[in-house]
Amino acid sequence: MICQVGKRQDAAGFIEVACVVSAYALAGLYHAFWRARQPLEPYLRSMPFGVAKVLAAEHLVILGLGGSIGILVWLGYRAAPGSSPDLLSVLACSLGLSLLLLALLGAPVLQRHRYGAAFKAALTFAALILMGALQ
Amino acid sequence: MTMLLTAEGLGMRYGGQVVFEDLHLAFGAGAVALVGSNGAGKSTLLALLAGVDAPQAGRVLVCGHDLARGQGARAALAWVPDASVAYDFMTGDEFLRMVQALRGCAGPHRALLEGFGIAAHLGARFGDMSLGTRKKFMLAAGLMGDAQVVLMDEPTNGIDADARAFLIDQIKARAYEHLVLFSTHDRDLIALTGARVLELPARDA
Repeated sequence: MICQVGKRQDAAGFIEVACVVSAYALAGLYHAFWRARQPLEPYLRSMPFGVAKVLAAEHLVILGLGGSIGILVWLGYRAAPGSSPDLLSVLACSLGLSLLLLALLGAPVLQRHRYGAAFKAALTFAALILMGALQ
Repeated sequence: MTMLLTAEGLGMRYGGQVVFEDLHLAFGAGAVALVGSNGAGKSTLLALLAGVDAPQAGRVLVCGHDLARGQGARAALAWVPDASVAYDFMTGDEFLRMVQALRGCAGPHRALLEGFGIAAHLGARFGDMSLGTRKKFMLAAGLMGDAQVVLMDEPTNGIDADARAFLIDQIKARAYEHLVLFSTHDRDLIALTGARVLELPARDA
């Protein structure tokens, strides 16, 4: 879509924005998991590393989902006619950074913090600037 | 007698009201019934002994391991809360496997599932189960894996007569080598399990 509709020189910017927005959207799953986990937390605390293990499992699920989507996008773009090798590396780099951002957005302190949503938005914006600077 | 569960100088207060102060307890193997009027602090005490809440003073030792240090104490205990807590989307089988993975223990024997009458509900989702069936899954999760110390909060609440009879057999069978400590208002349960009674005094409002 980027190659056919947009200008090729803007494609890197589109990719970065798309990756960051996807990471921010997927980070919403952390909150859904956190809310679903609340009634269980006391029960989990009675088990060895119970809360930590469930937290790790939630991270694995969300990062696995994000990684799978990223790989599918990368493979899809690679298989598309007229894909440029330059954009492939931009896409790979942006997907990697967006996964890092996704992992950061899942930090338990951000889920619990009063201004967690604002911190998440600031982190996402900072990641977008960093991606642009790295390309 | 080897002490399986020890509480030393436990202290807890809520909003200026003292729930426990300098409470000392020591239990070896056996069945112990925690009784007391509503609000006496039975669930609070069980939550402290299970490591769910941290005491404001004192410490709890499970099989010689301090609950506040390391995970050895938690590995030796199983807690059955009064409320049936699980993800609604999980099936009974998935819940038991989750608890098994988290506690690092063996799964439930078929006899345990059949005794509680939940073998037929393994594939049902928690959100679709009755309160009694949920409670039975919580009990099976607590009794599987042969934990040295089993703590149960109102274990007979909501379960049918057959499951209650099976639970009584389980408590009696385990009491020889394990500690089964449960809170209850059910005097028949205490008599049928032959449990020692630990009565918490009523608190002033």
